[in-house]
Amino acid sequence: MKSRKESNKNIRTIRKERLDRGARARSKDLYVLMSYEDIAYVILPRVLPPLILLAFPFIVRDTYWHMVFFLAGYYAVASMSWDLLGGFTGLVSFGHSLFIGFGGYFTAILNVWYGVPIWLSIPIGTLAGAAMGTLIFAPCLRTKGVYFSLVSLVAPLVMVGSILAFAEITGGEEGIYGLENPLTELQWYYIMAGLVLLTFLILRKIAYSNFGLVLQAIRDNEPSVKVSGINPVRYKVTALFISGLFASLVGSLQAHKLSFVGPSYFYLSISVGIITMSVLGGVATIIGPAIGAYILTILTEWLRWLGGLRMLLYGVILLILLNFKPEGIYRYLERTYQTFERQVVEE
Amino acid sequence: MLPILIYGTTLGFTLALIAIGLSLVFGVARIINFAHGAFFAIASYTLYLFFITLNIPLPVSMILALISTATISVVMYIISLSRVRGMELNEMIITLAFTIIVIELLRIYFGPSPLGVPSFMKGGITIAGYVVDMQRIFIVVISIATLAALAFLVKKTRIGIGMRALAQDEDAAMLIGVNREKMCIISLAISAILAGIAGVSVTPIMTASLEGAWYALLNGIAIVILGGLGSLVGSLIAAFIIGYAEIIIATYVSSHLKSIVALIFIIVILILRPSGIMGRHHEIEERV
Repeated sequence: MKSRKESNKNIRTIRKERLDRGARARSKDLYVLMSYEDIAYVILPRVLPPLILLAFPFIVRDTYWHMVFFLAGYYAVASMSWDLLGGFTGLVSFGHSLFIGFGGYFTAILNVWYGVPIWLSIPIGTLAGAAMGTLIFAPCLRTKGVYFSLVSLVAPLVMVGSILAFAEITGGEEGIYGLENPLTELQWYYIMAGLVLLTFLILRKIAYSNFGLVLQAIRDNEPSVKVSGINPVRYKVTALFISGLFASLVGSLQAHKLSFVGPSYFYLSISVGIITMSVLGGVATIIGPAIGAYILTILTEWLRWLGGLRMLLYGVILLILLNFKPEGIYRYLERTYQTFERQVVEE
Repeated sequence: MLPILIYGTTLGFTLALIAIGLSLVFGVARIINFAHGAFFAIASYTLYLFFITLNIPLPVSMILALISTATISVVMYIISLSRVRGMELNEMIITLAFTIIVIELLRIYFGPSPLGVPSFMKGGITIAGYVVDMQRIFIVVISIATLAALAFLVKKTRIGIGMRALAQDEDAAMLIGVNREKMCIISLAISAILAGIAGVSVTPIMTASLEGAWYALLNGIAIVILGGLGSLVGSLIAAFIIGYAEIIIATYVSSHLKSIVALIFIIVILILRPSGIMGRHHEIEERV
């Protein structure tokens, strides 16, 4: 009892004052940049992550970890593109692997069956994949988001079945082997790292432009967008196509890197992984899903002994996060970054 | 021709049970329940557990399987869904996560390969020179009985009236004194039991498999969109359309293309008539 009384007294005398540093920095007195510490405070979080990403192959020379980071980048690009739909437009896609699969398959068909060189097959495959996915989803964009979510869950499951049905084009269960792969592991790493940075910059630009504003308005209140004389369907289709472009680009890169495409490109585990990473990192932040992707991919590599339990891990993470911590890692980091506590002695 | 009629009718009834549950939960509780396929799988596997592993007599183990399916659905609602009510996107992601967790746990406990359960009744009846096994007749009979019981529940009882009131106008129903949380739980349990009956009665034909969960969910979604979200009669009609179409495609074209039927139907109906066969257009604007 006594100790509690004492601690109560302490709380009364020493109070923690919360300061919002970001708000002060934005206000007129830019005292934040008065010292090197404060300059570092502003610059480091913006410069350090891309530097680490680019310098990583020189820090860790193990090729295995380069491959892991390639995979993490693959998921990062896919989940950032998911975020443009799920976070900003309110179209939660449960089948983002549809775009990845289409991108991979179109690239493989072009490269292997028609002998199109790699520098042409990737862009054409990407465009074709995004267009095909948009074509499938476009009919459900006239209604509200729920229909899109329902169809997006169905479509990749159906595609796995139809790949087996059209085995003479798609290679069936075995998939298509022998795509051109002229690059080394390190070059692939840098392509993916560059793509992650580029995707982040482009998607953030889009998400915070006027176009992105309309998308957020569609998410929050679609009738009001219609009232403003804007056709929401056109915006949704455009957002879907942009998002699909990035997703099918990683699909086609992956196809060339592995020299292989198969039904596994369409698997639900990829879509669920993307959703889990986005929710973990923080929805509607663009950078959040990328953070989530790197964390979760490295975590699953560490927990390799889990084997087939990866999906269970995703499910449990999703359930716990959505129930108890739906804000995600990025918003938490942002909050702690912008506030700091100072001990103030009263009296 | 006759085999298509027979197989299509059985499949149609099974799919109708699955889809009506999905539609009911959407109409009453406004939840898009992606865990519906998991209920189907839970019922199949618990039937296997009680009937084969524990050797409990068939009628008892069927009832136990249904009870455990309903219990799991209610537990899911209480521990997790009730926390995010009203946040549509989180509800959908949580039910999907729940499906994944259930399927992975079933995979760990029962192993990945499908498990067979013997037919409930041996023999068959000859109709126009074609032998129909008793299991299929059992499916049709029990489905009709279930649907009749459901119709009675929805039309005549207090619970059913409360559900319909909630589906029509949530605020007005709550003003009159309908307990929304209770109705949501009841409708979820009923839908789980419907999916469970489908799962239990189909298990001897289709075996208890993990793919069954996705199959049920995929077709349930297709039927619900085709029939109009929240419309029970529409779901019933759409279930038979999709059931017959799948059997026809599987017989004459390729069994791999069976699943693409669902997607084609969804896309065509969304282009031609987004509210579904029986859905009214203004309902789309308000609810969905």
